[in-house]
Amino acid sequence: MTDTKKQLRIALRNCGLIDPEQIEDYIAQDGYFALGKCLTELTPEIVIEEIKSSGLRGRGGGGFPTGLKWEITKNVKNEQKYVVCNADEGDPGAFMDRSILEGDPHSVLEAMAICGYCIGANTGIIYIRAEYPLAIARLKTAIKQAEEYGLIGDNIFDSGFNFKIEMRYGAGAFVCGEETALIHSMEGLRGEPTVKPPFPSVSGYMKKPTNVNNVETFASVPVIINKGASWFNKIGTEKSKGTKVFALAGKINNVGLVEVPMGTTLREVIYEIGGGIMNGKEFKSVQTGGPSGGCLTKDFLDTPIDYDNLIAAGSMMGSGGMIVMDEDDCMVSIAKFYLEFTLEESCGKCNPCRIGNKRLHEILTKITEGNGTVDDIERLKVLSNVIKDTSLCGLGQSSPNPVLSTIANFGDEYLAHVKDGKCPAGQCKSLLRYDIVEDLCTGCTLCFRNCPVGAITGERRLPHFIDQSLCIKCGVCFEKCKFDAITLT
Amino acid sequence: MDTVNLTIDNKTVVVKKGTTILEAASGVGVHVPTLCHMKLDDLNIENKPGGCRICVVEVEGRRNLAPACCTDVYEGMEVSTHSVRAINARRTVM
Ligand SMILES: Cc1cc2nc3c(=O)[nH]c(=O)nc-3n(C[C@H](O)[C@H](O)[C@H](O)COP(=O)(O)O)c2cc1C
Ligand code: SF4
Ligand code: SF4
Ligand code: FES
Repeated sequence: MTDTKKQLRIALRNCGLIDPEQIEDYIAQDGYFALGKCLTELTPEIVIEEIKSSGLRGRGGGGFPTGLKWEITKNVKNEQKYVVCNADEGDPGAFMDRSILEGDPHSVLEAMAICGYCIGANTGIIYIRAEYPLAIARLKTAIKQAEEYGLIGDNIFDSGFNFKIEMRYGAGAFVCGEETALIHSMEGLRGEPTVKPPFPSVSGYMKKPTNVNNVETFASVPVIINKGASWFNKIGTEKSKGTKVFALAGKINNVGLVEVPMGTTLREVIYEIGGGIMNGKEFKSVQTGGPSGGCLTKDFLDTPIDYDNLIAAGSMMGSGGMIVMDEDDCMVSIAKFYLEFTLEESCGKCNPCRIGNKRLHEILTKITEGNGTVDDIERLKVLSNVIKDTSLCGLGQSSPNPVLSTIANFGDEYLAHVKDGKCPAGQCKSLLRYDIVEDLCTGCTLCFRNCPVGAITGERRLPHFIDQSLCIKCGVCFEKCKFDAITLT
Repeated sequence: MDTVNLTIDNKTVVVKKGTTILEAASGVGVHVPTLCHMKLDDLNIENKPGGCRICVVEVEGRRNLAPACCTDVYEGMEVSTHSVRAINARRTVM
């Protein structure tokens, strides 16, 4: 990353700086100091109060206030409670959580123990996708070392508080990141969501009160305890405090992880940290929130990033994916791409999501193939809203967002597809047309010999023709012609 | 016994706590269609996976529609079972 001045590392504070396999390195960075302080000096109530006043909100997507969640779970009476760390990280292209677990696993373990102390749980479980072998290995090493040091286990810091941490492996399904599905998967059941309430805080893993938090949420906790809530809540915007890690990807010069204070604008992230658009092309859109989020136009570039602003703009924070698109990207195809992901990942339990998204995808396919009508756009909107309104879990409730936001922000592009039969970005193959310009064609026969479907005819030294009904738009002739006699429209 | 007051299509209803919207509605003669909800009173078996979403109704102040078969009522709830939004949604879900 070129410009690091705009960045501020809280969740990623130790990543790349310490050896994640040496607990001594973490301890040297004040590691486990926060846990010690909580256990020996502070009551659970005070710690929860501190987290609440820090304004920390869940980084897993929902943005629920973390302190409040801890308090709710604490107030449910039960002998046995659980702390669960959600490390499913299913968004395509996202690797924030993985980087934290690989680079600084102890920060998560420490925070889980603090959470356990606050809510009255003595068991922590990390649910992690099996596709993250390095993160799993480092976590295992970290748990072992912490146990050897007595920082996890029985009677931590002589306080009488016991806490152990286990791991569970997921098969990497996106829907298993949804907390009720995650819990079912941990119980060995199918990874399908169930109706909330009851929320996990009341009845979660094994029907016991369970506090589920995301990796990045946990990673921010020890810093808050060490530096104080008043330090943390000075960073960020009114309702979104602290920093957020984003995985920058797409047509941008610097791809990778960035951590910026809430309230940083999209422009700062994309141009100052991300180094602008690749190959000097024109910025077109930025997608945030993964498959549940939306595509924003350049009008939103100066929007300060926080939970509420992104929702107001028709997108969402999500877990922190940020994909930048340039003038060559077709927004209808982008919406279709995200729906393909949703279709793959929908658990199929409820109708609107399973069937509705399939229908949305069919309509989008029809449009990209040049068979769409203006009515189809209206149908997309109506169906999208019903899916949002009636789906069981967050996956279905947010899956039409990419469609709705692209229609709202790039309606012209949809119209160009259905009315003029053109794809302005030149991405939808079926809407392309290759033609030979008679005056420029020398009749060299090169294209004729290369066309894989025999769509080109013509006599040597005479102008050639393309039979549009046979042409499969492969573009071979266009590339081969040495005389620029073939046009693409 | 705890009771809850709510209105369903502007009719005032008083039911036991823990009742679902569906049960409360049938108590005042309001029919909400269902599909995946199965209750065999004689066998005392009830299965409510909440999957088909045919039974969705509109609840005042709630962001999305609520499945009547597996949403518990709460004090002061205002339900409309046949609003345009609910009917449209059900028809599309169908
Ligand atoms: C479809 C879907 C996928 C989700 N995937 C994840 C995920 O990969 N990681 C995550 O931490 N939270 C994910 N969540 C959010 C969780 O349900 C839950 O809100 C979160 O783990 C709570 O932690 P937090 O309050 O710290 O954000 C997902 C939610 C939905 C609806
Ligand atoms: S919305 Fe989709 S993912 Fe969620 S329960 Fe329904 S079918 Fe499953
Ligand atoms: S390759 Fe170009 S010049 Fe040669 S026949 Fe084809 S169109 Fe004409
Ligand atoms: S009857 Fe199927 S969700 Fe309620």
